[in-house]
Amino acid sequence: MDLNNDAALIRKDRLRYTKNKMSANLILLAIAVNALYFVSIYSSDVGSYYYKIFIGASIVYNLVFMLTAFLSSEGVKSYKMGYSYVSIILGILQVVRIFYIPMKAWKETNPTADAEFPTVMSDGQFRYVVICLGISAVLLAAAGIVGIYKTTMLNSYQAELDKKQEGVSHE
Amino acid sequence: MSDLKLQHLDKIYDNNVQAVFDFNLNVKDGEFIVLVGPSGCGKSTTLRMVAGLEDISAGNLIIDGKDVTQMPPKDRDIAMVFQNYALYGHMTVYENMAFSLMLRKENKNEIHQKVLAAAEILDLTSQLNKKPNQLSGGQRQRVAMGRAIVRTPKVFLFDEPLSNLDARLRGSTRREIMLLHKRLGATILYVTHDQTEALTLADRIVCMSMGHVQQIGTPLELYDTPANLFVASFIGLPPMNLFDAEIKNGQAVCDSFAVDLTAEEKELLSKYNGQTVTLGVRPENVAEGGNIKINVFSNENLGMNTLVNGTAGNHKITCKFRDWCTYKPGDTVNVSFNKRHFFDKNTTNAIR
Repeated sequence: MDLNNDAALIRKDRLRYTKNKMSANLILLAIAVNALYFVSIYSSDVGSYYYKIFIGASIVYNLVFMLTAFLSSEGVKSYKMGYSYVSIILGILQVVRIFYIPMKAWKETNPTADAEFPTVMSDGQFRYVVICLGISAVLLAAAGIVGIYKTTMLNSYQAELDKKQEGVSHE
Repeated sequence: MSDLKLQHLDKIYDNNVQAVFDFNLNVKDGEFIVLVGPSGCGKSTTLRMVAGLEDISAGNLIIDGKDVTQMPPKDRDIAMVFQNYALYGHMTVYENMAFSLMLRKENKNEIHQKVLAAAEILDLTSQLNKKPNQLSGGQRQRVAMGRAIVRTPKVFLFDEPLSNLDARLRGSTRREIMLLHKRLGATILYVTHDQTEALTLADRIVCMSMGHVQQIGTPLELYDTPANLFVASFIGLPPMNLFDAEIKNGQAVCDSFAVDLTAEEKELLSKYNGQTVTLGVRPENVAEGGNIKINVFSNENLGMNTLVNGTAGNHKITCKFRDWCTYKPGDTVNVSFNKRHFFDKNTTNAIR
């Protein structure tokens, strides 16, 4: 095909043969950052304090999150639009999560009399986990947006090519 | 593309085994050179020395006027295509072809254009998103060639690239390589043990045996005027018939037959009067009709021609007749030799 050295056109054409590694890698990074979050939670007193159905649900959610995020990383790599939306939704859920365990534990008074911090979650840990969740949310949202942008670009370019091809075969 | 000079190359391994002896060759820009010889003759070692995969024990390797003898492979600007393709199984065809350029951190758009251009040359455009395990052997070999083409190297090296393909595919891929060479005008060094490949592809053939160059010449030169017995028996299929013959009274006399020498041959063999030389006749130069009687023991019809194997006294003779023959074992056929080659019995060199 004649790309006429048109940089924009070549960029579009490249999408046909290359994977969306950028989005995929952003999602994998989000999974890693999320791991920092739950390691911090489960290794601290917060895990012990919530040692009931609530923390169990959190563990299950983390597992489901990692699986879904990984699947969407593979999906966006192959320019599947649906997985880009899944990625954005996971990003939004990461923000929502801030208002559950971190926020609750940060506001909860520590029941232990001689505890080091007055609340279940210290200020420092709260900042740390919020930053982790925030970063993973941003990464997931960015992966989704990049995925949507590239997939839309590829689809419209492919449609254009198909139209041209149809024209040629009709001639 | 560029020229290549191999000057007095030797290869001696650590265990003191010498694989290549004093290899000299000047390859012109755009020339297609085929190194041919039996297994273990040193042809692949020579190619690997050019690629930089083997150290050069002695001698110089000059590419485009620059001595690259001590240079690491990556700096020699050479691309090599291997027999086993050496493709990355987890990468698509596109990624395989683009990989070396990506490592060099070339501009992605330029890489894309180069890969597409190479894919078009090799008719691989529709396969670019496939992985190697989804391709046929011939297509995989084309991908391996594409990976070499995108780099636009100074010299292409092919190490028995068709050996893993079946006979039919080998023929078609061979033609593709030929067209590719014409299209790119590339300088190519190609190793094979298959003389058909050597004869059909080469501008010049280097015939090797036991680490020594036996003859360098055009395919016709090697076929028509072999320098010695080795080249005579190696080039040509079926191989040349060889007989001990005594030169006397204007004849080459073998155990069970005698061949009248032409005036030209008499002059050529005047020094050998009364001596024994080796008489060589290619199967295709044996014609039906004549005074040499052969007892047939097999008749192989190949479609276009027939291979008739027989004996004349103690000598086995293979004849390649153009017609469809129906000789049976035990039949007798009279033949004559159209074209003869003579070799010195002691030196094995051709008598010229």
